Amino acid sequence: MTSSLEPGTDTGSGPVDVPASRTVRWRWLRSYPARRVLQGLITLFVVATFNFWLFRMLPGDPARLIARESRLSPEAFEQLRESFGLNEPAWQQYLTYLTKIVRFDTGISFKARMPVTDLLKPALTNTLILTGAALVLIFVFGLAFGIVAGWRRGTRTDTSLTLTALTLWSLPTFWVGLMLVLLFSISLGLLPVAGIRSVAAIYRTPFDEMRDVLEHLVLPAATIAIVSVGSIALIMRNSLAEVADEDYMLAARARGLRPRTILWRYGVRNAFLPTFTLMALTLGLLMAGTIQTEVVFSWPGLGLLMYEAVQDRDLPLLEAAFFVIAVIVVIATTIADLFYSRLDPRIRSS
Amino acid sequence: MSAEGIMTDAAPTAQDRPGNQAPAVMGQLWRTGRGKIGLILLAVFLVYGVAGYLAYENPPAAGETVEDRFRAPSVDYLLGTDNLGRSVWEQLAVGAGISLAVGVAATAIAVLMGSIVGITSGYIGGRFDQFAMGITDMFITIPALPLIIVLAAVLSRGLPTIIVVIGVTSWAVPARLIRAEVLSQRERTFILRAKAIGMRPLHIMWTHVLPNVAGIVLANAILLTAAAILTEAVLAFLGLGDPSLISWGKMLQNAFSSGATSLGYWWVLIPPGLLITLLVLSFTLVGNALTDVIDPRRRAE
Repeated sequence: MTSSLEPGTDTGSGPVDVPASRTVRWRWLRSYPARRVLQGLITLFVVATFNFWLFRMLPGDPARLIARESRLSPEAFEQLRESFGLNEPAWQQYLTYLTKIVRFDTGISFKARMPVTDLLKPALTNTLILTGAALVLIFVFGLAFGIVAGWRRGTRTDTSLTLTALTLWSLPTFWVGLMLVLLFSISLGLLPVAGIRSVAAIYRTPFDEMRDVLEHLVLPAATIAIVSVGSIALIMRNSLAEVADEDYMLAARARGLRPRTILWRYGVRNAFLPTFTLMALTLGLLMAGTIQTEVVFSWPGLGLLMYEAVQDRDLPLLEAAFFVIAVIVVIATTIADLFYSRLDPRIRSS
Repeated sequence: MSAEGIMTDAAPTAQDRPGNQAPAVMGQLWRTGRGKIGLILLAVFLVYGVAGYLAYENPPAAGETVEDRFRAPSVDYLLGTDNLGRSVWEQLAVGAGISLAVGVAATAIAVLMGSIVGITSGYIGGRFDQFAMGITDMFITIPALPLIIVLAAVLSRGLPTIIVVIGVTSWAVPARLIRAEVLSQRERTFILRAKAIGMRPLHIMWTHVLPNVAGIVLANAILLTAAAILTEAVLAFLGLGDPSLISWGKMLQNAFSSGATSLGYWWVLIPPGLLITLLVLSFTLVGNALTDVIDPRRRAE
């Protein structure tokens, strides 16, 4: 304790004459949460840098790419170069790019000729609605199936649930979407084919609108959930199976507690933590499912935006959508890690 | 050469010589229900892929008249035709080879990169290890599919691009896995002895560390192949595949973009997806069963 308050010893590389109070003030930087957040920020910085250099490394002048369809006069072309800052040296463009990213200014869409941010905002909301709905389904069904399989480990129920989970994981998400449309929308005519709202719908009450959106939400959310539910169930099953061998489970059984009490109070409770962390790791996979689903159902989110950007070769839009998806995933995994480290102190020290 | 003689003395246990365990592992794998189904399915797909490659051109010829479009399955066309009057049956057969080739080639790239990073990082340790694993974790965090889409959209369209892009975005998980294995092997007696008698690090890694991590790497590689096949299908479906070749994902893209879903033309929609699922499932089953067989903690059960 006393030694750590002495100047210089705490911060290995810091100047020797740092006052003790300052050393203490900056010590939080070494704490787990600070390191974890920093790691997330570095990841985003790398993604932004990647985006910038990808744009520059393309063959040909970026301004040509922007102006590819409209025939511009040399003067207008020069003006375009100027407005995109293409006449400045590369490193200066890079710095400008980074400062703009921090202010969420991600440039102008080639196709729509409007700020990318204006396109991203509504898309982000729609993607979060879809992913959120899917997550609820995955959570409820995945944990339920996992608990059943883990508790009846080695039985026929367990084997068939494991096989089902592996099969679900093997399904291409976009194909599941196509099959659901074929069955529920085309053959049975129960649910809408695509979009987020009915075309030219007039809502009398906000309740009507919500019902319409919910009807459009069912199939896309189910599509994402069907593919992901298996892996969550498997994760829950395996951690429950691991917990089952612990001494406290044996002790609980020896004390003659009811099986249900043992399962919920000792089993699920302890198995839930590792499941939660691993679930955060599957978030990237979840985004992959969302992109495919949005394309199949024309759900106006970030995935559809990316798809359209690919078709239109709209690079600023494509990169910005990628960046926003990366931000979502980084924030979510960081929060999950911090949450987990609060609950399990062993993580913080490693 | 004399080093080898000392080594056999130093490592008499079966655990240190997994090369001799291969037949035993295969036997155990076959005895798990999953492993057996998966291996049989894989063999069927391998034959199907080779036969399809030899029997038909890729892409199959288009229909001659407008009436050939979207023909329902009949005796002439077992599985009907697509929007250009091409036989669905022939397209399925040529697509198997593409899926297998992309899956295996992309995985080879990923495992090679992962092995290099994982082995050097785990073996050297210290600051280098911290740095390498920091980068690896970053790649694990960055959502893969969006990154793959951006890369595939910018680079020239073609099968090699697809393979490389999937390969170079999938190395992080095997790298982590291999590093963990290397760390657990590093302090084992026979490695320390090899070091003590002055074997070069590269030689130790090649002859002693690599064989010991081979099992877990193989299991992971099989699962990676499953994921790579899925990713290829997704890219083709999004229109980022090789424009000159037919693959299962491309078939679904053609069906989707020509409105086959709304028209209820199930024969262009169901078969390609079903085959993707079965092929991916066969790799998943084998990989999953192999992981259980190799992992000693679960083997004890």
